[in-house]
Amino acid sequence: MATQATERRPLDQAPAWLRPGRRYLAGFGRFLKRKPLGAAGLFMIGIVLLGAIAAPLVTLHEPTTQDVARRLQGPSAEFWLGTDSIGRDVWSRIVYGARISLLVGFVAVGMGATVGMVVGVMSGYLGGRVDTVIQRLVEIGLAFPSLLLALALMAGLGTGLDKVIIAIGLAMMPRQVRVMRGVVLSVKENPYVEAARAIGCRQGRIMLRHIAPNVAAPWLILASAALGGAILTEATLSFLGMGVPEPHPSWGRMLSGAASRYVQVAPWLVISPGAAIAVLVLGFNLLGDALRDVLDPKLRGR
Amino acid sequence: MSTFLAKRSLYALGSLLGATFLVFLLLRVLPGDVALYYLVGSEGEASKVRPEDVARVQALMGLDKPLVMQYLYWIKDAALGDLGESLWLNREVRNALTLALPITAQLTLGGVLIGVVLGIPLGIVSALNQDRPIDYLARVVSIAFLALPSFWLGLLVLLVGVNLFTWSPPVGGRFLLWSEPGQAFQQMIFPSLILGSHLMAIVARMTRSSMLEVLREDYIRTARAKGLQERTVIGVHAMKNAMIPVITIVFLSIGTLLAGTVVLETLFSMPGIGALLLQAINHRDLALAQGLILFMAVVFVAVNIMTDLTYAWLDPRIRLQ
Repeated sequence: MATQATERRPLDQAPAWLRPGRRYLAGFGRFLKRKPLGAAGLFMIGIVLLGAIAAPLVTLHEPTTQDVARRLQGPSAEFWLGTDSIGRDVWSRIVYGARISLLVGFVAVGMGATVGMVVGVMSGYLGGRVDTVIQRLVEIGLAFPSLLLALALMAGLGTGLDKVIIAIGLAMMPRQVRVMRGVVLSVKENPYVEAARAIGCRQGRIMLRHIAPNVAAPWLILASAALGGAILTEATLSFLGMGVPEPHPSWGRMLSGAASRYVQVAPWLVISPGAAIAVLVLGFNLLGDALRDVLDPKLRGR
Repeated sequence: MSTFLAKRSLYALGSLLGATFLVFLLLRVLPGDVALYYLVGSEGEASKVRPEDVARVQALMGLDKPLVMQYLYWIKDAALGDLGESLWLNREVRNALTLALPITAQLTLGGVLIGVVLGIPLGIVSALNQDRPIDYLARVVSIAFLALPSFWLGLLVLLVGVNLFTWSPPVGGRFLLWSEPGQAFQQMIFPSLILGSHLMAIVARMTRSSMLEVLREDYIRTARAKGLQERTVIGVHAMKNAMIPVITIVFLSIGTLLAGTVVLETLFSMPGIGALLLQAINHRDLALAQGLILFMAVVFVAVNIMTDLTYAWLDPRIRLQ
């Protein structure tokens, strides 16, 4: 594909804070001021992210160290959130659990949303037989509620951290493809696409250089909205015993089995993991909502 | 309208066929030899099992035939209403399904009812007070409920119930609202509330944004200019159009609610389809798991068709397109 090295396209449609350059920071500040809920979401994510990165610095124990002699202890100076049924430090497991949640969330969404973008652009732009085949496949995926699809995939793939990520990524793909295709269908009617075709651009180039950048904003919204869902799905699968296996500290896993058995003697086992999930998912939901309002109000309700 | 319905159903049938094949394949690659698992369970020693026994069980399950044949047999029987035999329960899958269905149905309907009854007023109040504190409060409440994992809410209910009120839900029994209303109510009230809280959040958000859009329309201004009471303008004129997307999203959420019952039925030990599905997967009971997933997919797809039809019926503009 022949490309002019100096070609640059203006990003006029993008809001100020997405444009490169010095105005980036100012625009970001304005986003925080105009969207207090989005700022709150960003703050929540920031806290969890910080904890995940600095995990060894903010914990006193390894998340996997067992000490059966000190099982089911209440919160204390040494065990800030108490210990679980085999004597592991709950606070450490919460902090290290953030790594698992963020890892699963980002990788699964990265996978699902990227494939969703590529396939959605191809399906929407090329149309015809390609579109028909892809959409029939998408409909098969859409015949299940996504949690059920993830559950069935886990049943087939078996347990493991990598399998969880694959299952969640695959389960979200049909919807991602469907929505991206819809966006592409409206973008491809623009005169600049027609112009590109008229001067003889190849289809690959049109999709890559003309369609893709112009569906980037809705794609970002869709992906950020999917993050909270992916983290929630991981927690749910792990809670059901079909997700992240031991000894990985997964928030959902911490709530399965032992937690419900010790509801009476060790209520702290129930409270903290759920609160952690809620904070992170709420953070992503708030941020996703704010991003959508700023970038593309038309996507509301999708 | 009838061509619309016929076309839509035909497509749905196609995607269902694809879906059944997908489910079938997924469960065939389930790790571990199903026949071996059936013979020794999870703890037994595989080496003590005679190979001829494994072969006998495989023949019994039809696992000795080629994959394609297995699928064709299954789909043929399923089309005739025979979902095969659950080896774990030692009972027909169809039987197990009909036993579990009422529990799941009353739980899901309870969830829908709660979600709609709480969500619509919340959304309307939010829209009528746009950008005032009460709007912010309602929006934060609904977005928070979207983030709260249902199993955590369930555990909190158990926690508070057990520790503060020495109350726990009736465990394991199959209580139906029409035969044992008291017990059934106790068993399903909290799971329904939790299931409904999620839907409430979705409904409230949709109601708010759709109401805001409708309120800007000319005919609303006309209605106000005519001197109609605000109650009539909102309750009759605005509601009629604002509710169309809300109804759609309620229908579309039924599938998600159905999947949500897996969690809540397991947590509250209710013998419904969701809990049964998880047990079937854990017990490597192929026939049962397959049958239940197929059933859920059929319900989901059927509801989607109904959504399209309701939509076309409520909004004549859609029919014209």
